[in-house]
Amino acid sequence: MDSEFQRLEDQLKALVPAKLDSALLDGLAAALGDPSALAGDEVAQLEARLGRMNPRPPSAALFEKLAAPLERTPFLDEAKTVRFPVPAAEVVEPSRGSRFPWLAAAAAVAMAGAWTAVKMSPAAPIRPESSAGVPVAQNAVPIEQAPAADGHFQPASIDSAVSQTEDLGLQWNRQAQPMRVVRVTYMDRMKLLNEKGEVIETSVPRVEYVVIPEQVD
Amino acid sequence: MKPSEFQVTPQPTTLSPNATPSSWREWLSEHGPRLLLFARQQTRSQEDAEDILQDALVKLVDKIEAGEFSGGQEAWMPYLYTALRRLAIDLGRKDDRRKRREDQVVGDSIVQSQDEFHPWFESDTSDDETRKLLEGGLKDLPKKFAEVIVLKIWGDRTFAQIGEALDISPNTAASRYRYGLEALSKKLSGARRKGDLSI
Repeated sequence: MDSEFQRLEDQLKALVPAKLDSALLDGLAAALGDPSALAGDEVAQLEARLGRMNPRPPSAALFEKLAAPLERTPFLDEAKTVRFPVPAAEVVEPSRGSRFPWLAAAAAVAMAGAWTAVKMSPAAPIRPESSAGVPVAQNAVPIEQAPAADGHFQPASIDSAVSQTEDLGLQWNRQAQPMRVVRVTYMDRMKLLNEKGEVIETSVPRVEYVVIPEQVD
Repeated sequence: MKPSEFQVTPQPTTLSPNATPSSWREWLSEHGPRLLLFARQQTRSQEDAEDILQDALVKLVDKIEAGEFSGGQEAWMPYLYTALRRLAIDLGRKDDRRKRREDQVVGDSIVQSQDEFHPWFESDTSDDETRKLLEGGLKDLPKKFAEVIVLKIWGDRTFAQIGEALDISPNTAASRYRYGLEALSKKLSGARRKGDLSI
């Protein structure tokens, strides 16, 4: 009898409970609530509601008190100020370089990608001598192709350089992981030649967004 | 024959503000409320907030006049937020703590009544209860959360800029923002359940 019970017990232990069907699971989940989803929704709604609140402006008396010392100095009107041009190939370095190594890493990744794209161009190189003495950009990829005989312009060289990087801050993904978003602005330059030696240069900005997982302490 | 060069360089598209202030008064009308809000969040009273705001603006103008300020108009707000925080810290240290303890009972009631006369946010009569609840919740938050929320939502700063102003890492700023909003949401959950808060 004991062995029979033991055998029965072993058989019962070998059984696996059936899985819940999806409809029942959905119902249970809705009843219990998904804390992260609920919290996320409530926080997002709260954030939106807070954003609709406007800070109270200073009183008239306070406004006058604040404006008085300001008006002794000419106002810098940005619309009427012309800044000195910044070289197109200049990369904006962070003020505390060692504090944002990821920015340099993002820029390096972006430049590597750009250089790879340029190197993989199907155009074959041409010798600079055929360009009527017009110098080819040092980092440019020359394109091997004889200038058209009918005066039409043909590409002579192309290159791409990072002109600016900008930290857009952190974004949170659905898994609540912080992701740093960096905007990388390239300047794609192309030089076109015709048989007369005339040159057209184009510079077209191109923006890419690099998303890097942020290391959380 | 000299090659003639035709340079066709399309200018990159840059977005400029729709309404660029052309005078101090315009600029102050646009940015004054959010600066005052941050100053108010950093200090104990409306009076202290107004004082440090004036001091911060004078510092900015002094630097501009002396030619020591680097950056254009876009650098003013980051400078002012940092200045406001430092002035608030200095003001707190200068206070006589013994005098504060002695005046604590009277002081708190004075501050509370001042808050009612100097709300932090605008509201219309239909929405005033919600404004009071949200404002009260924000004031009750630990300072390290509230200051990040104020800078992010109304200061329109990035986490990197918030980090610079508060001398913390951008990652810490982002964490405090998220935790702060969650803490505020939990704090307001009671009002939400009672139906006093519709969000």
